[in-house]
Amino acid sequence: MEAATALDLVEAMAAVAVVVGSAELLTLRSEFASDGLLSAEITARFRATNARSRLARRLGPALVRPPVVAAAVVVRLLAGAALLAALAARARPSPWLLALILAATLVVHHAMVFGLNAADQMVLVVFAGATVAEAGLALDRDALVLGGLGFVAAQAGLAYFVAGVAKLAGPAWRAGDAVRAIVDTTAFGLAPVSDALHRSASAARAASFVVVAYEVAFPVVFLLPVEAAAAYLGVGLLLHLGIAAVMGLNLFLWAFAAAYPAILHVAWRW
Amino acid sequence: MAEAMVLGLLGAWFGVTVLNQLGRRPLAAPRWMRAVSALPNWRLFAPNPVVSDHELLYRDRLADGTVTPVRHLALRQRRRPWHLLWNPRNRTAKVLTDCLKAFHELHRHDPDLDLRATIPYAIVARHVLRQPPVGPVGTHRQFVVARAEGLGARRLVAVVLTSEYHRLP
Repeated sequence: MEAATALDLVEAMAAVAVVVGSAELLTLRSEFASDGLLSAEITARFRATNARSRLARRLGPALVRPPVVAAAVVVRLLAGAALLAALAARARPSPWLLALILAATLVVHHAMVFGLNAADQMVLVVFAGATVAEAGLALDRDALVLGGLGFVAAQAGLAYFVAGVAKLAGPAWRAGDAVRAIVDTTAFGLAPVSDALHRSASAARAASFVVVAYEVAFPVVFLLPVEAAAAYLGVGLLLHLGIAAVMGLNLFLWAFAAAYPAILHVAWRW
Repeated sequence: MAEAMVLGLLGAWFGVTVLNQLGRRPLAAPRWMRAVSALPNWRLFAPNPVVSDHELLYRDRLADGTVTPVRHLALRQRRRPWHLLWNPRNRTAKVLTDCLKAFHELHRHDPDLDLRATIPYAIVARHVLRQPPVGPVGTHRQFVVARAEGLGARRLVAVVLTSEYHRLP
């Protein structure tokens, strides 16, 4: 997959994650009030207590003030929408637009002591890599293009591999009980799926083993021919679709899928 | 030169991310990277998957000293088809479960620690105190953090933390 095509797809899916994630945060803006779950007052206290330098003690609490955070969320939403519009018009987005999304994302992350997840972290690394790669295209510097896309691909490869290897250390995953236990929770479960997995112990075990096997074997994707790598990633896409539907983790789908074209580009370059 | 610096930064970022997965605190990672959650933890649902839910309950004490029945505070919405694309309450539920998990961790590391002085306690307490009254308006409110496993008839619940009575605002 050519660099420009890969970058278009990376940016499009990451932009969807940014737009949806920012719009969701806007609906939760009351939570940034002093008695809210994302209380700016508590976050400011936390940042001030944990800051070591004088600059961090001054800047930290200032950056979590509700108007600053609200502005960052709105900028992130609008910049994400502008990125989608540019890609739809087949225009090459400015690296500054991506850098703006990256900066706004950093401000939003800084305002949240709790509540961030791996999808947020993936969006951050994707925009860091995409900004560098987009700058590389603009400046005609191939090393930056490959470096940016390679960074995204490497982080995604590491994410799946670490998740898989860490699961091997867990007794519930090794016994094949983990997926059934997860869907048994109200936080990440769904009653019909839970019931189905309680009816079929073999299906429950298979679900756990498939997840672990897929994640542990993930680095192989970099060695496969591009068509086979695409097929492997297609399975990953289905996995994330299932996770979104069953576990309600909607942003994981866009955040992790955004890294797939970068992986295909790296596999194609090899 | 600038190109090499940018690529070096990305390489360093990836390097400290790898170290972060090993459970070591990377000395080279600046504190601000943690402050903006730029050091990913890729150990998703591992080694031990989430097998239990945290539940939050509260009750009010009235001016005459009587105590109301307990009310269950739902942390998560019932799953709907559109949550596949749009699920904002997932974020607030994550904040609460992160806080409740933090109680466990803090208590495990230091059983003598006064949890009321911690950030997660402050977040949960403020959230509980802004909830509507249970019956008549009381003067104080107490909350309970419980841990539940299983769904429907298979559900088992155990109390993790009982707060003192907090004066209602």
